[in-house]
Amino acid sequence: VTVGVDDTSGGVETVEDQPPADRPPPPPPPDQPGAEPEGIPSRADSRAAAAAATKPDTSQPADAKPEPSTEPESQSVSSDRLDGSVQETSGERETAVMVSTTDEQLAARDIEPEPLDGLGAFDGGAEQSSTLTTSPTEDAPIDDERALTTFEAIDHPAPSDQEIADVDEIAAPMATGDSPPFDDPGNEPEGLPSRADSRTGAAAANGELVAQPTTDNTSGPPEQANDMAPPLEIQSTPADEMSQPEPDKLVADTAEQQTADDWPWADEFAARAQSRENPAAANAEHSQPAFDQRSTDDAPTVPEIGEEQQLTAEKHTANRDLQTETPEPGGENHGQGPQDVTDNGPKDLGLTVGDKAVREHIDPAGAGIGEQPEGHKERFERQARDNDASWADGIDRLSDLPTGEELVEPKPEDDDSSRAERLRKNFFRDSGDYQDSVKKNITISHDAFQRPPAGHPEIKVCREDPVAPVVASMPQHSVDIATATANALIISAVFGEGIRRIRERHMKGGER
Amino acid sequence: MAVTDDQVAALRAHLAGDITEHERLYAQLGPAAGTGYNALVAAAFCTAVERRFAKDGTTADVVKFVGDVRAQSERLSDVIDPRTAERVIRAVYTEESVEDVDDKTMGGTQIVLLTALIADAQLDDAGLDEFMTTARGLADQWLS
Repeated sequence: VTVGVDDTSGGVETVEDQPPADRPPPPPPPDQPGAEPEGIPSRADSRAAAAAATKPDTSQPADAKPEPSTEPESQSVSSDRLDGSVQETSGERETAVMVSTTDEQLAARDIEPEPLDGLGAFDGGAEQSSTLTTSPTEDAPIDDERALTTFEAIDHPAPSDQEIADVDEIAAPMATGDSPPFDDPGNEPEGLPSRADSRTGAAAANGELVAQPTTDNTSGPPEQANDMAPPLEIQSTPADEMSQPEPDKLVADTAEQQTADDWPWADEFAARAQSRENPAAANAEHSQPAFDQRSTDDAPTVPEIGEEQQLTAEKHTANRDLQTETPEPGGENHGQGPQDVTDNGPKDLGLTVGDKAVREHIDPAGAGIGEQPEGHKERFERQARDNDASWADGIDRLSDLPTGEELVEPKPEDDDSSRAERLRKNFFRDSGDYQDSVKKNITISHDAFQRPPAGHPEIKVCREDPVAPVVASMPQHSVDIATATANALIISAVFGEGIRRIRERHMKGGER
Repeated sequence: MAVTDDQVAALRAHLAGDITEHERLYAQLGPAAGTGYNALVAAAFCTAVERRFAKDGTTADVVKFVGDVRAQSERLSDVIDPRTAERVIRAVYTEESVEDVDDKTMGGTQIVLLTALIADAQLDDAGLDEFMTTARGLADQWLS
């Protein structure tokens, strides 16, 4: 009988769980009668007996019609969507987790709500997936394969059977949000009635028929809805199944399981988490110098899981040793690496040519190369400058260089001596020819440049202003010979004509 | 050997235009006084060129000066070679060398140009004395 919660109507319906005809019948769960070993009562029988002792009316016939419930949300088992699909509610998951926790058989990490093959509650129809059971198929078995699909199982190879047993014995601690719901009987604090009991009591007072699930109704994992949940053998005894743990005991056990020290891989996972949180530190470990790598090369490249923690410890130990042995980069032993290389190289045979080494004899300039460390700065020694040295000899500072003025106009003493010497070479001729030439040309120069005699100062008047044009006066010509001759001829001609005229009158008068 | 006062007085009389006094003083100099007198004439020539052209004299000034000297008379133009005269003048205040000029040409050129420079300077007696002192100092430096 499947009790479903319809969100649209808010009622509780009980449908008959009928698997489809095309599917093979699911294997009977181990909780069902006949699946457990002989002599051991099944869990379903025990629960049915307990339920009958308390509430004999809760068993419903298979063909019972669903009746509306006044408290549908109290079931919290499954809900039908508007589109007809069915989805498991969170309450169902929590219930499944709590059941496994109270049984102290299952680890929370080992309980996977949906199977990975996609055939979970989401795939089935309403009749198949909305299976909330009052049937004795609740306690879902968890097999080994199921445990391997968990997160931890993926990270690690399959542990041995002994390790699986250890894991089953120490279930995963509960999350803080996984507090025991008060809907389940026995999870509420002492002295307080559970919510389910209160609702049931109220419904009974109203005369309603309530499909009241027992504690086991919510204990089944959702994987059982489609009957595809892989079976898991639970290391439990019937006594354990029958006994409900007290809340105090449950909390105490959970606190004990929360301690990571009880988990065999706790140290390993702690180391992994530390390496993930600090990748830089991990890179620094792998970026050690070559001689660091040599020390770690001895370790296996692909360590096994069980050896990884030991390998990590060995790495830390090796790094500490190297830190104590590795010299500082700027220390005196900085060149130890090259020194090791040269030690393996050719030795100096001490061959000499004369007093010099062979290399110094062949390459005197490069003989000193390599003797001084790189970046060595030779000491500068100031060279004293002599007075007789050239202007640039021995100059080691700019202030010692002569200025431009000093170069253009040297000091007077130096100028006089050099000038006198140069003039002497050019102009002083101590010879007779020179003296004779001087004596000969003194008279010529004296005649040319004779100075005026004393007492007759000659003042040169220089007209600065230009002379204005003046009308020239009539030239005063004197009597020249030609003019006198011409005048004399004219006068003689006039006198000759006059004398002739006078003579002709006398002749004419004499004749008369 | 140093320049004597008689050598200075003889040259000063010539530069002063007193040819008679010069001939008298020069006649009093002995044959050994030739070196001093020659040095004094050359030193007086260098001193006069420096005072005239060393500060702001140009090549054009030198050429014009030489032309004016040669234009004074035909005899001077025959005695003075213009290119040699210009080189001798520039050699005083420049690095030009005139060591290739012979002694006869050098003597005639120096005394003619010296007379023209002093005549053009129109020095009085004090100026002429100061000039002669400077020239004597240079001559003594050469002879020392």
